[in-house]
Amino acid sequence: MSSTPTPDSPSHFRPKSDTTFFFGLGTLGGFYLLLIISLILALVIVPRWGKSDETKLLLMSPSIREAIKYLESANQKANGTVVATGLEQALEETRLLIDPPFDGRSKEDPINYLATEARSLANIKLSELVKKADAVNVDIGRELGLAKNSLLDAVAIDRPSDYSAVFNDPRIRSSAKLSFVSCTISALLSLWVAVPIGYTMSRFQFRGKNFIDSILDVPIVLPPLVIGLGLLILFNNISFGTMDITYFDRDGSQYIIQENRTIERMIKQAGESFGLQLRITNGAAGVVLAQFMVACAFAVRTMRNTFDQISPRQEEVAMTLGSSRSEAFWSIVLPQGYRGLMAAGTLAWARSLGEFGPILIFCGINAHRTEVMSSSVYLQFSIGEIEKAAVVSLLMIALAFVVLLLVRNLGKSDSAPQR
Amino acid sequence: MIQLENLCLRNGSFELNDLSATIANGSYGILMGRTGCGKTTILEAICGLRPHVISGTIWLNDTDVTRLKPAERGIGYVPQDSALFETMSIFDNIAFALNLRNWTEADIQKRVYELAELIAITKLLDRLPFGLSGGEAKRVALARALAASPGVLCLDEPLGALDEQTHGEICDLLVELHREIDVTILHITHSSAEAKRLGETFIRLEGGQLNEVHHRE
Repeated sequence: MSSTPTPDSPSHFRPKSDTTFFFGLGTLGGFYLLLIISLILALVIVPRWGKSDETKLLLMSPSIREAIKYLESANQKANGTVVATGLEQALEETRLLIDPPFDGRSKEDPINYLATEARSLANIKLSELVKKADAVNVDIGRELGLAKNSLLDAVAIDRPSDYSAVFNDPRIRSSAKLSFVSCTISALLSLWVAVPIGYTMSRFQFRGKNFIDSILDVPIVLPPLVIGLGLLILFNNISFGTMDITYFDRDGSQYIIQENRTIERMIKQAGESFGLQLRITNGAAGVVLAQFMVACAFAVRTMRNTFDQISPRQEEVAMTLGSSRSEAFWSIVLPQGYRGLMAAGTLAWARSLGEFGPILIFCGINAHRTEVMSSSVYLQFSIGEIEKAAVVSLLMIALAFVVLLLVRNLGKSDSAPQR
Repeated sequence: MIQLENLCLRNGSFELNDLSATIANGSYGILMGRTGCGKTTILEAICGLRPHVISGTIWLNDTDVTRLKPAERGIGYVPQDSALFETMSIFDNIAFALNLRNWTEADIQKRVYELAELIAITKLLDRLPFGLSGGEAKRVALARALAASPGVLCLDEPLGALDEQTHGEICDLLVELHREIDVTILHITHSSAEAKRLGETFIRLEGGQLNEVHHRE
């Protein structure tokens, strides 16, 4: 066999198969996509939808029958004791729930009637019976407990859908409103700051540039919680001497106390001199500030990359043609950075929407004042209302989705050249 | 006229020292040299762009422009990559300098169409720069640089990366422009054929020194 290589001919040479490569692309990408979709689906499945009256009745009757069964067995055990009469009565009333009397109340709103009756039976009558049975040493506690649970199960079916409960909750409504407004303001503020910083960092060389660059990235690498802590300390724990604060007693008398002159107090005092109630910590302005601190770092990075990608040559030509640097910036650079601007704004907005840690530390969670949607999710979750937390999360997803879609479509406008 | 007097330049770590040369009024000057020897640095210094002038003087049409801003030097500049303003139509690209000088709408129209006709790009005026061929982009860049009637035109390898036919067409255009318009031109190239065809004054940058080779009347 000859060791000299023969020249390649199209018929002999085959490149390696790309099947594994594309399979890898597909599976890895698909895996993540699947994870996102399952996550959203999980959030959609958990909250309960409202049920029709017929369905509710259908679902309630097995629980009530179960309660009757337990009460009957309790009745057998308690036969001849002092609790027998009360038990008989409770049993009779529970049986009536299966076939309610045809009076006005039960006809108008059968579900409400059933739920109210079942609740009062379980919580009042059966609880009293348990106490009575304990007092006379009749061992029917277990049966009565089970009957009570069955009745409460029936009551639980009457619960309104988690969606309507969340949408009608004024607290969550105001948190959604605050989220939307604060995110929009902090995104606009971020752009306002990110454009000049991004342009300066992209176009000019100066001493200490690397140092400034690293400082600009600090909010990206720092845990957001720490930013909240830093803000809290900056506004409330660092004092610049002392100042007199006037306090009012309940009877209207006023007294003056010397307190530390903190930034928060100075802002408050300045506001009062204009007749305004200014408040950063624990106020909506603080929410915007906490969101802005983190979101702006991302906007700055995006804008810097955007300006880096625009060749400075066009500005230079514009300057030789008679424009100043500022004219070149407004007429040449910024129109070209339109998409980057949109991306930075969207990123800042989305980042602000998800912000939780710094807001929690800097502003707390005050209903109608500093509660944003991420705080609502946390609150609902922490009181065990996972379904409502899921609904608020879905609301956030929907809000983010609509805004992202809107911005994407704006980004496609004719003013920007298609690449 | 373009005159460099003992010019010392620095662009980052790159330095050029004691450069002197003259291109007479209305002459077609060619600056030649090997790739990376600093031709573009000299051109940018004349335009007032990046390089830092350490010492020496740049005279453009008897004015010392060494410390003047690019906008105040009265130059037209065609960079190697044309650098057309991507978000503006070709019309607006050409009218850019005129708008800055507050020309009336009618005067701008007249001037842009006049130039477009001379440079044969009338049919492109409504288009955006995206999608133009290399030759078309060069023509537009030329029209844009000439719009405000500069005294000096700086061309940075205007014929580089063009196919043979377009190369010939743009060459013809430059010859015609030089005949029609009273402007001093500084043209950077490393092609001697191009230099022979277009140039009147030849300057060679070798070993960091400018040598005037010869003048052709």
